Amino acid sequence: MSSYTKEPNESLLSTNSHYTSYNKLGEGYRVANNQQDDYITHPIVIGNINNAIRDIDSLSAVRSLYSVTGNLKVGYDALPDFKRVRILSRPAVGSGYIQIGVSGIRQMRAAIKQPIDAIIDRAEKIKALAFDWDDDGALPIETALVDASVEFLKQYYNYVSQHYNPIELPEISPCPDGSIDLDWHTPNAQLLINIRKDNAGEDYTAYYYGDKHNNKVQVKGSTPVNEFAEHLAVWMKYLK
Amino acid sequence: MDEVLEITEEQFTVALAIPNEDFVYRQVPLTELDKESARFPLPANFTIKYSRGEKELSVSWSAHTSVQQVFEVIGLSANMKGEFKDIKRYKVFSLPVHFLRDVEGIEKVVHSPVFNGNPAPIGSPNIYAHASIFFPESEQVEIRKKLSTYCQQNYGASYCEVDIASLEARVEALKARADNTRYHRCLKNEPPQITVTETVY
Repeated sequence: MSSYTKEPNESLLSTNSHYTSYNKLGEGYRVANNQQDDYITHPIVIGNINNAIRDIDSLSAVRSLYSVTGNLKVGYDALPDFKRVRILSRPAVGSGYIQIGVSGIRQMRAAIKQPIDAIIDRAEKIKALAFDWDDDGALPIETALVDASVEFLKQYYNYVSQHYNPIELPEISPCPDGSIDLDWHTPNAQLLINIRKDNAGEDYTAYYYGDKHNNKVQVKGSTPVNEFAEHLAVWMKYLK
Repeated sequence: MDEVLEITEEQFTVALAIPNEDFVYRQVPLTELDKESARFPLPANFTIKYSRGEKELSVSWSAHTSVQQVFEVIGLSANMKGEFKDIKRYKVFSLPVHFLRDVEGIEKVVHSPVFNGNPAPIGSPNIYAHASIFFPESEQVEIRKKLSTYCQQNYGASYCEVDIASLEARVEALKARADNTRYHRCLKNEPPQITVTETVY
C-alpha cells in the first residue's frame, strides 16, 4: 500500500482499494491500488499530453486527462518544463486507458506549479532591480506594476485554460524604460504584451501584438489592466 | 604613435544613404535575468526609452564598422557610474537592412554618426558607424516583437560570435591609450581651398 495521504480535493482517490469504479468521474474512470503505487486509470480521447498534464492542479482537473493522446502509460520526470514530461511506456493498443500513479500526480502537480512559481520568483527579482540595472541607464520597475502584471497574467492564463485550452506561460521581462513585457513564442503563435503606465501616467495599460506567425491572424491593441479584454483572451487560445 | 580615424570632423555631420544589402549591428546588454531566459534576445532588448526622450533604436552600420569594433566602442564607453562598460556583458546581433525596412511601422533606418569631439572625451567615443532605427511609440510592441523573433529564428546568422578574451585584451590596450585612439580622434577639417581662376580677356 502506498503512503498516499488524502487531501481535500482528492477524496476520489482516498478510499479505493483494488480497481474501484468511480461513477462520479464518469464511466470507465477507475482508481486502483497495486502493491507498488496507487494509480488512476482514465479513458482516453485524442488530445495533447502536455496540455493534459498541465491541468493536473487538483484531482478535479485530472478529468482533463481525457484529452491525453492514444493509449499511454505515462511516467514522468517532475521537471519544470512541461514539454519534458516523459512518456515511459505505451501499453497495449486498444486498452483505452492512461495510468498515472498517485504519487506521480503529486510530482506532476509540483512540476505544474513550478513554472508559475518561476514567474513569481522572477517577478520578485524584477522588483529588486535598481536604476541602471542593464548598465545602460535602465529605469527601475515599480513594484505595483510588477504585481499588476502578474495578476493580469494569472487572470488571462486561467481564463483561457478554463474556457479553451491550456496555454504556455510567457517570459516575463523588465524593459529598460521601466515597463514589463509578457512574451510568448509558441509553435502555433506569438504574442507580446507590454504593460506600462498609460499616457496620463496614472493607471496601467497593456499594449499587445500577436500573430499566428508570418503576420497571420493578428491581434493588436491596448486595454487597461483593470479591465478584461475578452477578444484578447479568446485570441490567446492560440498560444498552446 | 597617434591613431586617427581617416574621416574628417565634417564627415561626421553628413549622413550617408544605407543600402538595403547592408546590415546593422545591435548591441544587447546581457543581464542576470536574461541569463535565466529560455530565449534571447527578447523584445525588451529592443526598447526605445521614449519616456527619457529617446526617439531611436541605436545600431551600427556594417559598412563602417565590424563586430570587433562594435565591442571596442562598448569597452571604451562609460556607464552611468562613469566606469568603462564590461564587454562580457554584451552580445551583438546583426539585422539585414532590407528586413528592417520591410517591417511595417519602421519609418526609417538612417546613418547618424555620433561626434563627441576631436579628441572625444574618454568614456564618450565618437561613433562614425552609428545608425538609427525610427519607429513610433504606438508601434513599438509589434516592432520589438518582430525584431526579437527575427534574431531568435535566425540565431545562427544573426548572433555575432566573437573571441571575447582577445577582444578584452584589445580593449584594455585601447583604454591604455586614453583619448589617443581612432574612436577619439579624427582628421581636422581641411581649411577652405582658394581656387584661383584665370580669366582670359
